Amino acid sequence: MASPPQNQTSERERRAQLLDQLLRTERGRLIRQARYHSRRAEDAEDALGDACVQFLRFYGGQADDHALRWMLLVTKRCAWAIRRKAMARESRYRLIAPEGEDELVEAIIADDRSDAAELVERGEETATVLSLIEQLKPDERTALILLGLGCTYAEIRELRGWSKTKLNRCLSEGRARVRQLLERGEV
Amino acid sequence: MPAPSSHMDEQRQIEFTDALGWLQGLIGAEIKATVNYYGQFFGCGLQGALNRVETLPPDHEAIALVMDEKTGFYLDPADTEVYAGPEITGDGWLEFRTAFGISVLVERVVAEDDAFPMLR
Repeated sequence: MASPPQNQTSERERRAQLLDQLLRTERGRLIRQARYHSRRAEDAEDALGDACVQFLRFYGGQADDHALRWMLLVTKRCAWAIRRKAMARESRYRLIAPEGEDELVEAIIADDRSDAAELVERGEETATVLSLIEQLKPDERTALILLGLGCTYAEIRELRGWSKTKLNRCLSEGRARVRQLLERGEV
Repeated sequence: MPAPSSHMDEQRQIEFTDALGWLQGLIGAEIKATVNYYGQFFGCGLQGALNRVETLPPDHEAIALVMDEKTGFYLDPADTEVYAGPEITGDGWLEFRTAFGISVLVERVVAEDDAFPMLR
């Protein structure tokens, strides 16, 4: 009697042979099924690929019409799964599209609530920072933005032709003004 | 809606998951599956021991009924309605109506002596 690992190996080989045979004779029918239930040709290929993986892992039937019917049904379900994922992604992208409040609310209601909430929060923070920066003097704004972008003090001085004192004053006064605005709640 | 059967007045629609539970209770028993097509006589049936009720990947919602280890059929809840019949013999029957007009009536094969013990 064969040991369990040997049985598993032979079962895997049997499935692989079955799948190989099935794809040689019925690939056209399977890809038509995948395309019928997919939005794009690439998605259909993915769906058929996923179904093949599932076949290799789970198929326990015989090498007759059952294998084809099994694959037709599983291919359809895999195509639906790919479609669902694509739709979930699209609902997230709608959130950042500049189409107004209604679109924003609609996207928040969509499936992935945690991601939507996170994006809204990040959007609010960005709006606050932009509002603060707009209220600074031009040189303070430039100094803080360049520093925030990762420039060194030396690089900023070189870019703007400023002295060390000028740069230090712009940065320190700019920061102080931001703190004041935040404390007063003027954003 | 496809496939009204002769039991039309006595049947009620049930959830696919409830049907699944009923089928699992029949594992090991002799069943008969009669296939019909809406508005036409089809006259096709399968009979044998129900070996397994398998759920299919990737989401394990569709099922395969395996009879006599080699034959059987596949059902997808996405396009199938299930109707249950009265429990005349204590076993009842289920009718799976697919969206494309084919219906499958599944019932347990009960020996006459078992069905009507009072007649013995």
